[in-house]
Amino acid sequence: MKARGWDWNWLLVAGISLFAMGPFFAPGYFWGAHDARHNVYFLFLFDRAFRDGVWWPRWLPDFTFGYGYPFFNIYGPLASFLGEFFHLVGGLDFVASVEAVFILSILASGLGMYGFARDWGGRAAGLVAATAYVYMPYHLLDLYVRAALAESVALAFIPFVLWGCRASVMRPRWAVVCGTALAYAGLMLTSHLVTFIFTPFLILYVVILGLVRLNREEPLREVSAESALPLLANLARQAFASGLALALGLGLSALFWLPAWAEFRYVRQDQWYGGRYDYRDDFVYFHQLFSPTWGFGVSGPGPDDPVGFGLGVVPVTLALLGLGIAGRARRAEDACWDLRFFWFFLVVGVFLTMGASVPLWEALSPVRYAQFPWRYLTYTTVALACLSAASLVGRREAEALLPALFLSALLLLGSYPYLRGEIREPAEGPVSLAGLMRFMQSADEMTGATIWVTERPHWSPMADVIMAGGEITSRVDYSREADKSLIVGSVGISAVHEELYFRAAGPGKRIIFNHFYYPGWRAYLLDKEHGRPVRELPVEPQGPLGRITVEVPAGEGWMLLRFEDTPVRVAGKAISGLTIGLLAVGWVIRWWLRRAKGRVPMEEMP
Amino acid sequence: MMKGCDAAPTLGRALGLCYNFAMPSTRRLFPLESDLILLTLLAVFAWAPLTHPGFPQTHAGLLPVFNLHDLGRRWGDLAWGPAVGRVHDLWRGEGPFPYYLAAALRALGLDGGDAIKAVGGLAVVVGAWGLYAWARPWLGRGGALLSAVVYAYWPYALAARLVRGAWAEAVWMGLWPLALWALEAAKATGQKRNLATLAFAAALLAWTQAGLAAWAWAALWARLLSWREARARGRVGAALLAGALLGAAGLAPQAVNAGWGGPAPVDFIQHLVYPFQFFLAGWGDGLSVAGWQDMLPLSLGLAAVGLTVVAWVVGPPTAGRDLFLFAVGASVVGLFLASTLAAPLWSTWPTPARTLTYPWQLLGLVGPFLALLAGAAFPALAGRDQRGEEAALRRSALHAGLVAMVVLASYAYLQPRYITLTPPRAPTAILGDHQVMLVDVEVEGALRAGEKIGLTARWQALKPLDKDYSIFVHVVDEKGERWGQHDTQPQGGQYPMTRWRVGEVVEDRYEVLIRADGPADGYRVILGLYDWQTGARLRVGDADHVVITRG
Repeated sequence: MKARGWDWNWLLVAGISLFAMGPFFAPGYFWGAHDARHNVYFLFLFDRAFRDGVWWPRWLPDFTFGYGYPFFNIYGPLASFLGEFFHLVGGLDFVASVEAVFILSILASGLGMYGFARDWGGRAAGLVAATAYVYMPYHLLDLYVRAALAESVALAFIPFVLWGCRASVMRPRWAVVCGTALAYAGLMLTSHLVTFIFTPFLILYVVILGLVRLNREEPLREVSAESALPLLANLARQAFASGLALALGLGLSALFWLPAWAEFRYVRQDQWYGGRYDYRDDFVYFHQLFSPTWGFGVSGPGPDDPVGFGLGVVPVTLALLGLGIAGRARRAEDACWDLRFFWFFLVVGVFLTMGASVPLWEALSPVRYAQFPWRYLTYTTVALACLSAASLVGRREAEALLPALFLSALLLLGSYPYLRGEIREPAEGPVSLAGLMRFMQSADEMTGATIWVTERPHWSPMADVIMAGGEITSRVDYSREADKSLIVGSVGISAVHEELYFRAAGPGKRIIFNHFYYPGWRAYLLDKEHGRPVRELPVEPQGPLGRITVEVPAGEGWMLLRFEDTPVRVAGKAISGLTIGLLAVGWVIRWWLRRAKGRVPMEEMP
Repeated sequence: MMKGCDAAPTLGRALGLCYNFAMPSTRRLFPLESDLILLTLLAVFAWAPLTHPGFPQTHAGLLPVFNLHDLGRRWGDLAWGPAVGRVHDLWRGEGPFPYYLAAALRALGLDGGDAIKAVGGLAVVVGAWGLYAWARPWLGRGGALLSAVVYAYWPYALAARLVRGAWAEAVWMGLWPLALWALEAAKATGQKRNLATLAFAAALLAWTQAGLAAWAWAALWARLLSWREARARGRVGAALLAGALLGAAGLAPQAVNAGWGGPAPVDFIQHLVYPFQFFLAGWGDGLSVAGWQDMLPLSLGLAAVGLTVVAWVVGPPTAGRDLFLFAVGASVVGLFLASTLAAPLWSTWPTPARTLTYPWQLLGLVGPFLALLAGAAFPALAGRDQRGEEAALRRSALHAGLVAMVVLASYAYLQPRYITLTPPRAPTAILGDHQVMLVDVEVEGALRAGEKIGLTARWQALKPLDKDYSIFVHVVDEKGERWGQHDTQPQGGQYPMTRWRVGEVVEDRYEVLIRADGPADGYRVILGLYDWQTGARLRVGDADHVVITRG
């Protein structure tokens, strides 16, 4: 469909995606999905911190019954940023905001895959690939069964990253580099876990594309030992733009991933990788990849998970039939290598989900980073979406629309039974702090702890206050001041600080806060109420709960406890700021060059 | 010149090279192409359920595994037939070939259940290959692939494997297209190799399921007689006859040892299929019952029927018209004979019914013909006369869509239930007139006076049970005096036997307290079933109970 040069297929993709978005427009919310409650309460807590003036929340004080947790220091915040936008600007409540983000992710994933597949396969192939991607069973699992908001948003970024990297190699331009950088940064800010497991294949893809482009200029079969070094140099040149884009993307997102990588060791990792999160219990059996089983249960040991891990009957069939068909069009010889890459990507993804890959999981820690073996179905989702379109690669637009619509209809039909969520009422009641406390207690979720916590709490005094309908006006443990040798009164509190008046009868008195200790918490003696810090006070964790304690000097005064940036966080922010600056400078240079010389390719930029 | 970037033809050529090396004749017996690999992959949704660690819970339950182990114990006995839990019937029952095949796989290291499942998987693949080879000369590559996929996902074949557990019949359906291909190949080339293949295929059909083989031979003869070339008829007819004789010879030891079989186990005419049942979309795991309320899927399949209609509306290929007419005729005859429309015929002439348990088993005969007709939809829609790159690409998308539609149409049927226990090498006992099988029993606790013992028993119904039999567990001394007793309905009354599904393994637990005033030891446990209304016990061979263990 084309009119006056504009590609109407963008609208068609959006229209086809409506069926996947449909359940989110229905009344109610699928509170029964695995992470459905988490998404809403992540946003709820994000909003509370944001409204407290913390524009980049890292510490959530109401996590773990009010003891707090550095959740957004180690977990991508972009999905919550998007939800906050819908909440603050759009006026939606928390549940509707989460659903809006899901809807946006569905739309973006379809459009992104269309753009990417169109780049190497043509518009018809793009249409089929986009439909396949939106309706891939694992994608629908992320939406309706797991309610994996971060992963769903990450799936939306992946095709944009692939598209940008491909364009950076094939048609390098500064705008493409910036777009790719933004997409990669978006992916990292959404889910560093998905980014980490995806990046090696992204690099491989760039290398393959570089070789394809090199082969156009000089057939690789004519390469000799002497020409190997120049070949590598040429390859580096071909891949330079992509590499720059990815580096800029890393730079843009450094304010998140650098602290996440460096400071993840300060949270208890058994809560992320042990117990019910032990990867050994979650390998997928071969038959499950081809089974129509669908359910809303939880993955566990054994071959009969009450949840669907199918690859998708129509995508698999179309991909298999694409073998030997693709590339027979003269216009699509380069696409052969894209398709071969996606076959490799698919096979690796399938292998890593299955028990046969246990030695790899045990030997290579980066593989374990995925947390669950079935998370490698993200690989198969991307790969199969592209391979589904193989039979339409290089087709003429006028003749290919009808077959593309036919195949798209089949893809949609194949996943139609999965387009539903379990609408329920929230067991914890309306979204509120009290509801959050009930959720944490009943499900033992959102109860993360730092490494200084040796006995995880199952309730707290703050939770008592909340359940009684009160507000937390201080996190000081007043129960420890029975001897009246230390008197404390809170004069101000927010998500990341508390200011106190104190009177200590003698030296060595410690104020205990109901905060888990974590790097970044610092205490200061103030010159007066709401005054300036005079000197820093030592902060130490204490007790089985690893709570923050601050030793105050004898006498009376004011002290401030505040969550600040550590050197790593400062460095991350600095790198991100620097990268933004570089991007801005790059645009200025581009504008100046274009003004001076007309259109200039990327290679000629300084 | 077109360039392909596909891996499959390269792999296929490599396999072809290996094949040619192994078979140095310049004329290959069987065309080995990349499409066969593709077919194997396209059929993955049909054979993947067999890779589940458990064993499919079908009407046959664990009987195939027990029969395989029985073959292992009686290896070398030419009169062996699968008789564990079954009444011997040479016409209606399973033949020995699938079990010999499974035994070969066991020799390679598979356990009993996996070997049976592997045979089932092989049947899917071989059936698809055979149909592809048979259809290729007339429908072209695309049409043949489509036909083969239709056959691999044919609901009746899926039900045979995943609902009925009719593994021998499934293997038979895998071999039947090979025989059809061999017939046409023998006529086309006249080579001795092809004639030998035909004879061997005909024999294999008999060794797999003799009753259906008789019908297959009749269909092959009918096809042969439709040829105009007398010389071809003579050659091929001789090969067919040789195959039939070979098949009969292979079954002769069984016939001599145990006879050809007994009376029909069910009222044949009551199980004729009502025509509307051929078009039902529903799926179930129940049994065939007298009348029209079968819970067993007997549908011809939306894909097969729909594509056949499309093919004939649009216009079937002109080449090979005689084969298509034959396929139409064979389908119509087969469906007619399986349906209630043929009731007067069966009443008048019941002899052929001797070869089958149920009339709908003739659907196995019809399958390849229906698949062939369905495959004709592709060349009909694609227009084989159009040439060029664009036409080829146009056809490829259409082909992909049609094949995907066929797989999708049967996808919902591919969710069998599974038995997850590791079966013993033989059942503990078979009670009554092949009514209930005691799969195994585990006893916990010491057999001493004053002790309490626990028993975990696993049962399987071999046929629908019309009574809620009670279970008794007695602890008796050497003289037979009873010192402990427990009588119960299954699962404490929660799951009476009349509700048991045939083939389902039911686990039950019992506890018996041995009286303290009895002998110190020397006890044994006996277990059995009885009708609580009359007190009559189900026989176990010459006894009316099963001895579980001795003290």
